[in-house]
Amino acid sequence: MARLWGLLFLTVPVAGTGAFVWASRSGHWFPRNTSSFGAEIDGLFYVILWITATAFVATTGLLGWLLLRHAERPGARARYTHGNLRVEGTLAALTTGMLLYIAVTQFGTWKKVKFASGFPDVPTLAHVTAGQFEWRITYPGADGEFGTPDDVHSLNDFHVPVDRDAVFVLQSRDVLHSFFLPHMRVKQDAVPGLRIPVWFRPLEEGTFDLVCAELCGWGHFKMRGRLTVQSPEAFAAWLAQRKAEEEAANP
Amino acid sequence: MRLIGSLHSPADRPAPMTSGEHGFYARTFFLVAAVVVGLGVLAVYVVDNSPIGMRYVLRTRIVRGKAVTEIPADARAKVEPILTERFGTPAAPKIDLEGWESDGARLLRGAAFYRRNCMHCHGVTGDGDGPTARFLTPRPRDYRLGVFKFTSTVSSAKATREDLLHTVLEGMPGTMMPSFSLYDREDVEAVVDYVIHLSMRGEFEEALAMRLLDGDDLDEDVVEEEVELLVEGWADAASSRQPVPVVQPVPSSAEAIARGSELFRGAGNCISCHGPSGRGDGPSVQGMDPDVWGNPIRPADLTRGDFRGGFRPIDVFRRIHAGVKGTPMPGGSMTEEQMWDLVHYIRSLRRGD
Repeated sequence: MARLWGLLFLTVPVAGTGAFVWASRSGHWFPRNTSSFGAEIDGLFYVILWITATAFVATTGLLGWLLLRHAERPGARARYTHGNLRVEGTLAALTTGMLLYIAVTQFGTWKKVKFASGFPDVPTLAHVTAGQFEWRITYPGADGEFGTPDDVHSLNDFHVPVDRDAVFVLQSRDVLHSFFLPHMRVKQDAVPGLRIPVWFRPLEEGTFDLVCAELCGWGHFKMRGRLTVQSPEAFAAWLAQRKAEEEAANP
Repeated sequence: MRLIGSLHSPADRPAPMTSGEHGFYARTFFLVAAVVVGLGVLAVYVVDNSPIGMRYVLRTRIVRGKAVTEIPADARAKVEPILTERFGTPAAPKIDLEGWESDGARLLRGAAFYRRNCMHCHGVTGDGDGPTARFLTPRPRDYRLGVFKFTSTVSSAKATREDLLHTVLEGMPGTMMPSFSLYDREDVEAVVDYVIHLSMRGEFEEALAMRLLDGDDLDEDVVEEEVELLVEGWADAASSRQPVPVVQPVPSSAEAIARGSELFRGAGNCISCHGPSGRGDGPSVQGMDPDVWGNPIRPADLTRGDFRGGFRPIDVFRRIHAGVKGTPMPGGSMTEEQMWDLVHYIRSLRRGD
């Protein structure tokens, strides 16, 4: 029976690794990257994935092997040990080295993606306000200022021009939400009371998912959104059309 | 070191597990896991397909503004079978009224969508009292009075399908009603059907109960009379849409806003409720009767821009023209040009984003 537990523990690394291999080969992996900095984000992900995957397979494999090796040996007595300073020191140094490597290697990308000082210097495209359970998007209109009569509004459907830096302000009107564009590798919490600048640069036209990645209440599952990437001309035409619809006396 | 050593003294070691105990724990673990997963799958299936345990509940008291009518149990017992015959159950909803066309398959589809997305706030019966409702201000709409606040029809008429559709698609800014703009359009249309079903059912319940309390018997003639009234009210809504011109007759300008401001303070008498600065803090609000649902009156803060019925010029125009149904906000009694002046003034009150 004790051998069964050993095998059970071994199924975890085997099934876990198998799931990753299967997912990466059958389309259950990342969606296609369509943003300018997406490849860098993916690169960082793979660094961490390989480090943790190696550690995971090694430790769980060792655990399973030890369980099998020492199971059901009548008469064998357990030995108590308080560890081995050399082994522990080596492992601690190795772990520290890996963590430092991860920390240092992401500096550049993090600064580019998240630091306001690294942002492209373009006017703010929109205000995106998350709320339970919808996205409300405001464009400044022709005057470039928010809160004026020529603002243009959109519901759940975030339009951006292709091949341009889209800088926008993310806010929440009630609780924590998370603005997640899987294809753009953009994920940012929306925090009540904060105006958080976010940017990305889409490289491909099309419609993509915009989802809330923070459990924001019982209706979290209802919070559907869509990102529409268009040519700059089509984007301008869409803005004008939205404006006309809003202003029409009889829509 | 000594402490750790003593903790590990072999004398304290628990007896090792026997293989029978191993088996027991393993079997129990897998059994519990299977039961939990199975129940979860079953629950999702049941709620979507056959709402076991869900039923429409009749009111013990009917509230309309200040008027509260207790409905005794024997009256409810007489009303219930008629309601079920005409409107079915949550699992098999229908609208069986002479002169009203209803698509059974679409109602079913709407009911499933409603249970997934709406019931939590609006309740199984559409009473606006689902499990989440008590935490919300303003409260979710109680459909059963047949009254909807934001409509395009004249003040005496009901809401149209388009009005309800607009609310589901656009949501209600400033409330917990979200937008369903990216959902399958057929689902959204179907849920509007279902909301009308719940609304008609609630109104019919009230009408029959009141007839009973007035001393009438619920014989065939009385029921037919009430069916006719109910169908007439809903059928008339579509033709009571306030027509509006394709282009705004009065475009926004400094002059229009100035004229609107004049009306806001003067002839329109908007300030008595909405206050001189439009913050909804006018003097008349004190001591005002509750709205038709029995909730206290809270005039809109016009400086916030998150208007429940929408901020587009046409939305504001419709509020001024038709009023906000079920509340003291009246339909306007001024010329259309004056109303458009007011629209532009009110929209200019919004503070910066």
